[in-house]
Order: sequence, then C-alpha cells, then structure tokens
Amino acid sequence: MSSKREHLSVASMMKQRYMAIAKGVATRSAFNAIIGLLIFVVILIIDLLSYSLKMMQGMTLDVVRTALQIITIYFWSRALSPFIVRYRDLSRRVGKPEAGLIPVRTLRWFVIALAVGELFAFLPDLFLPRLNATFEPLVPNAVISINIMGILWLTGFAAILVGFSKFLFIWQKTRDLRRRLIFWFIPIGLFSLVDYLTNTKSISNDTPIQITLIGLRFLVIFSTLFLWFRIDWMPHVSRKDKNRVLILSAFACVLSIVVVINYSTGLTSGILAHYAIFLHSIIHVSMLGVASYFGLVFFNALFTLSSTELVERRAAEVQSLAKLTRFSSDVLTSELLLDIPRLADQITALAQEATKSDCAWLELNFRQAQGLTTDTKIYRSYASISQELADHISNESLPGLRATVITRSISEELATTGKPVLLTAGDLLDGVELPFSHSIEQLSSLIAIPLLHKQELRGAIYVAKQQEYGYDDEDVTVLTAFSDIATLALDTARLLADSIEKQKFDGELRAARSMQQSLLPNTVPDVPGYEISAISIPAYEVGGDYYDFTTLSDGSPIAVIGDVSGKGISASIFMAETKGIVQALAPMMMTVRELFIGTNDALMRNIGEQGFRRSFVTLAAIGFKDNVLTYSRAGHTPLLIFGANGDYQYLQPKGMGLGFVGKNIFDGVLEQKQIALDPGETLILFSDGITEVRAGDGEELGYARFAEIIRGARFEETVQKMTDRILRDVLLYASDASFSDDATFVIVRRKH
Amino acid sequence: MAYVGSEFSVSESLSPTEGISVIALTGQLDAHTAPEFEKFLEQIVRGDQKRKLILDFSSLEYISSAGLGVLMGFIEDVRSDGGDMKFALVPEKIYHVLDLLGFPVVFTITPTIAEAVESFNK
Repeated sequence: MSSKREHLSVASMMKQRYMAIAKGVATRSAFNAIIGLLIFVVILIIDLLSYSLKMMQGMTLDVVRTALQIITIYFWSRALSPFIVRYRDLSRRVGKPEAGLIPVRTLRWFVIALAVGELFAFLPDLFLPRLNATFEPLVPNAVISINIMGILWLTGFAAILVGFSKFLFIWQKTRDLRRRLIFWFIPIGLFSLVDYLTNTKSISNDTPIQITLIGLRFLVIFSTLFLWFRIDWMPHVSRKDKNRVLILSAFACVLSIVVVINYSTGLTSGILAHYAIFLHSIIHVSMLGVASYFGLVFFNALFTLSSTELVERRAAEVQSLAKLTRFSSDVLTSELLLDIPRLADQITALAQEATKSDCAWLELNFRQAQGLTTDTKIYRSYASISQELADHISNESLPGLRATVITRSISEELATTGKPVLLTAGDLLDGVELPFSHSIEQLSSLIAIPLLHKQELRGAIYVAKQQEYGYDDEDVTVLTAFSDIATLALDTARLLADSIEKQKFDGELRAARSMQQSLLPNTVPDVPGYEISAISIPAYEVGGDYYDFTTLSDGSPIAVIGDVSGKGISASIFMAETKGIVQALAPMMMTVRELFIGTNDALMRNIGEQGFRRSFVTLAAIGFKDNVLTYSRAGHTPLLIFGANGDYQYLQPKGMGLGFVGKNIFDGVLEQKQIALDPGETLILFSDGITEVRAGDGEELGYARFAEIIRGARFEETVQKMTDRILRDVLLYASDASFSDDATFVIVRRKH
Repeated sequence: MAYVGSEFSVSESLSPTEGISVIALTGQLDAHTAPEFEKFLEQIVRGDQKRKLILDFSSLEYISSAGLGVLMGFIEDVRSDGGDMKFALVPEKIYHVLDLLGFPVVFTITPTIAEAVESFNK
C-alpha cells in the first residue's frame, strides 16, 4: 500500500514538475511575444508619424526602424523557439538509423515551411499581378496594413533562416562552423549595405555599382559553396533516403530561387523593400545563399548516389561479418556444440541469411570416436529447399561451363580443388543449362564453399538464389569467412563429442582396471624351495588376464594364470567369475587337471544360463608338490622352461580352452604333465599379451625373442629383479613402450 | 554381401559346389571387428539358412579371442542341422592360435578349399 502511494506521489510530483516547466515555457513565450508586440507598436507609431506627418525622414529613420524590427523579430523568434525542434548532434548517432533520418526529416519540414511561407508572402502577387504601384502609403490604414504584413513576413523569413542554420549545424555545432557562418554573413552584410545605399539613392545606381552588387551576389554563392562544400551528414543517409534528399533539396533550391527572383521583381518584394529596406536586402541575398546550399546538397546527393550503394554494401558486409562473429562466440560456448545436427541447421540458416539467399544446404562428413574406433557420420541440413533438389544440384555433373569449365558435379569439383565454386547464368555456355535452372524453384545462381579441415574436405555449404547474377566475389568472400567459423565450430563440437565419448569410455576402463587389479592377489605365497614372482599389466583397453594362487584339497599350493576372451568391463566380469569358480573348486580337487575339468563344467553351465555364448577362458596352472611341478594347460599359451645351462623349451600339453565344449570332448583332450626343476631352473607362465607385443615395424616379439629376453634375465639376484628386467626388455622392444593387450607372467625359479 | 570394417572385411565368394558357402576373411579379426563378423555370420547362418560353410583364412592376418569366440558360438547352430563349419587355408600363425585353444579337435581344418569341399561330400 505504502509503496503504491509513494509511487503515486512520485508520479504526481513528476507531473507537477512538468506542468511547472510547461507553464514556465508558456509564460516566457508569452512574455517575449508581448515585448515583440510592444516594439512592433513602437515601429507602427514611428511609421505613422513619419508617413502621415512627415516628421522623421532619411537614414536615421531607417536605422531606428531596422533596429526595432530586428529586436521585434528577435523577441518573436524567442517566443516561437520552444516550438521549434531542438538542435541535435548527429555525429553522435553515427551507425544509428536516425543519423540518416534526421536530415531528411528536417529538410522535409524546411521545404514545407518554405513553400507555405512563399505562398503566404507572394499571395498578393497572384491576385494583383498588374498592380505596379509605388508604395507610398499615404493613409494610416495602409501604413498599419503594411506594418503588420511586413513584420509577419520578416518573422517568417527569420524562422526560415533559423531553420537553414539548423541545417548547417545538423552534423555538429562546432566553433569552427560558427566562424564559417560569420564569414558567410560578411558578403551578405556588404551586399545589403550597398543595396541599401543604392535604394535610398545615397549612391547612384550606375554600372560599377551594379557590377559590384552582382559580384557580391556571386560572393555569397561562392562563400556558401566554399564553406559548406563538404556535406558532413550525407554519407550517413541511406540510399532510399538519399532519393528523398534529392527531391527535397531540389524543391528547397527551386523555392529559394523563386524567393530571390520574386524579391527582385514582385509586388511583395516592393512592399517589403518599402517596409524594411535593409532587412529586405539581407533576406534577398541570404536566400541566394540558401538556394546555392541546397543546390550543393542536391548535387552532392546525386554524385554520391552510386557510392551510397557501395557504402551500404560495405555496411551490410560488416553487419553480416559482425553477425558471424557473434555467431562464432555464441556457438563456441553454447550447448549447440553438444547437438551437432542442430548446429548444422543453425549454420545453414545463417549462411542463407548472410548471403540473402533463397535457399541453403549443408553436407558434413563427421568422423567421431566411438570408444576406440571412429565412425564417419554424415549430417545434412536443408533450408528452404527439398532434399532431393539439393542433392540433385550438388551431384549432377555439369556439362562444361564457360567461366569455371566444370565438367564434374559441384561436389566433385569441391573435393578435387578444395576451392569455392561460384555459378551464375553468365557461366553458361550457349545451349547449356545449370542442373538447377529447370527446377521448380528456378534457381539461377549458386555458391558452394568447401569446409576444409587441415586441407581435408569435410563437407560443403551451398547457397542459391533465383536471381541471375545473384552473387559476386564479395559474397564468396563473406561466405568463405563464414565457412571458416563454421568449420571451427564443427571441429570444436566434434572434439567435445569425442572427449565426452572418451570420458565415458575411460570411466568404463577405470572401472574395469580397478576391478581387475582388485582381483589379483596382493602377495605371492611362500613355497619352500621356490622363488615366485608375478605381475599383470593391464593394457589401455583392459583385456582379461589374471593370475592367482590357491591350494588344492591336500593343501599343496598352485599358481594359475588365465586369459578370458573379450575386453573391457565384460571381460573383467567374466574374469571375476572364473576366478571365483577356481577359488571355490580348488579345495575340493586333487590335481590341476581335475580343477580345470570342474571349472569347464561350471563355466559351460554358467555360460549356458547367462548367455555368455561367445566367451571362453584359457588357463594354465602349476601345482607344487613333493619337489615336483604338476602342470596343465587349457588353451593357454605354452609354459616356458629355462634350464640353468641356457636351454629352453615351450611346454604345450594338450588342452582346449574352457567354455567351448562340454565334458566329453574337454576331458578327453586335457593333459597333465609333471616336471622337476633343478636349482636355478625357471618355469614361466605368461599370456599372449607378452609375446604379441609389436615392434615399430609390426613384427611381433614372438616366442624365440621372448626366450632370449628370459635368457638375459634369468640370473638376476631375485625373481622380483628378474621380473622387472623382463618387463623392461619387453617394453624396449615394443614400438610405443606400451602393451596393446594385458601382459601377465608368473615366474617360478628353483632355489639353489 | 560384404561388410567392410576398419581393418577387417568378410565376404562370401562364389561357391564351388551347390549348397556350400565359402566365406573369405581378410585383415584383423579382433575385439573391434568381431561384432561385424558375428553380424555377417548371423545373416548367413540364421538369415540365409546356410549350414555348410568353409571359412577361407588365407587373408586373415590376426584373430583374437573375441573372433575365436564368434566361431565357437556358431558351431552348435551350424551342426544342429546336419551342417558344418570347416577352416581352410589357415596361415601358420593363426593355426598356432587355433591349436593352442584345441580348435583342431572340434573343427576340420584343411590345407585347401577343395579338400574342405571334399570333406563335406564324405
């Protein structure tokens, strides 16, 4: 409530304030008008006295009357001034529509005022064309009439001259301009003085004086042209408005010349010359200046008409470039980047807008990461054109065009040259038609801009118009600049999409990797007589390697190595399952072979149930018992045994992978062997991630080279050091010092 | 019918004998290309109801566990209806992988396509 009341009171205060100001303005106007009226009355009395009673005559009378007339005009102008539009500095409005509009509007009002004033001033000439009186008002009534008419005309012309000065100052009201105005007044003043002296017959109206007067008239014209040669506001007038300026300035010029002529010969001129002999000369000659100024405006407008188009074109280009810049800043930060189809639509729409085309379309080949692979996606976007027609235009071969000599389709041309294509009707050979000139839309001009990324063609933007010769090189330039921004935006979008995809992928990898690592045992068991070391390095894209240690039913320890099929999180899950089965079954099994058979049974059952139809696992295991090693291999890479004397052998007992076949086949194939290690002898379980490491030339490490690495490492002081050295040597072999698959190995060395 | 992956392609070539399909594998059959291979076999075996297949391994450079899994996955379907899947022209390196896993126990692996065809006719 209170706020509303407050609001009301503020509003009413504002209203009061405006009322007070308006009241003040009105009072001041009325006051000025009355002062002017009083002075007018004084002139009237003087005139009545001088004409009727012949009391005052000669130059004194003229000076007194002129002075009083000027004072009257001054006060009346001041009374009128609040109602005249205030001066506005246009230079501060450059780039805004009003900078071009205000001169036109002011000029229009000036022409109307001039026309109305002229009609009013020269009305007597129309009605009394034959009246060629000498204006010697001998009766008081005539004196009063002439006084009233004269002062009204004077005020009217004062208003016109003020309007004119508004024009001069329309760009900027600088001190320099005011100085120029004074220089303009000097020949006017001189002319008026000489004219006055001739009119009052103080000097004889002979030829030299006539020539002087003509010379002074020309001086006024020249000073006008010289001082305002540059029309500051002209460049800011648009082409459409310039046409209006042309017409209006022609009117203003002609009307001013009519005033000048009428003042030399007309009845009104006679009356006014009689009433205000000095001011009459001023008006006469300054109207000459006004006429020449508007003549100047007219020609200036005429000569800059063609350049206006250029300026406007530039302005339009700057505008479209500004739009593009804004687009780039918008697009590079917005959620559009996450929505590539929408981004493509936006680009198409903007290309159409920027070139003022009737239609536009876009084709985009987009390589995008999907996990580790990349897919090529094609995005298309069409603005104001059907897909069929656009594809037809892009892909129809062109049977030889004059300018470009294209014989292939536009899309092929872009792919081959990587340069923009501009086609207009002028490129046509006689009898040859553009592929799109018969279409419903009757398109006749086209620009195609390739979207290049690192010299590689990624797509193209097409714009087309119905108009023949609808484009020129400037359009190509603008669109090329635009395509650069579009490419940037699209590339950013693609990188963003890739990194999001990668993040998702990395998230899965992290989960898989941490799962895999958590499945590996933290410690190596202490088996009397043996040194044991194990390591598993997950690849970037996690595979399914694992190793484990557990005990059989008699308590003897075993080491198991495994490799499940597949990669990533699903492999990790399958690996966990396998590990779980092995861990659960081992305490119930007598040998590793029994363990594998039981594991295969369990996996076959589980695979059947869970639909892991494509999954399998390979295992190899060593059992430690009574100084003899028992080993089995179910599809896994062979075991490597390295003798103290440097001989080595890959052990490959028969055995199928687990999860392939049922009990009947699996059990029949699977072998179990035994071996006793001499002191210093080493048995190694490893995964194919080790031996399939590739060198720079693509050559795999292979079994032989792996054995050589072991040979170099086998005398290391501890198996841990041996492990480190093997790993180092394998990585030295690898081209990028990394594993593309999980790399796992378990070393068992007989103690001395 | 052919499917082209990034580094792997599989296509069905002209059959030497009515009722036997020869499928040529080229490139690297790994975890990334295995789904495409699976899609292809799906179409041949379940779509076209072809049961007698000879896989031409001559241009296959590499096969990973995922690829092997696909082969294992289809053998039951193929054999369920009197058909079989035989491997021919297997490069040494790939044979080694197959051998490690015990594939020779399950699959007929022949040196030439003609021999594979012959083994169907037995």
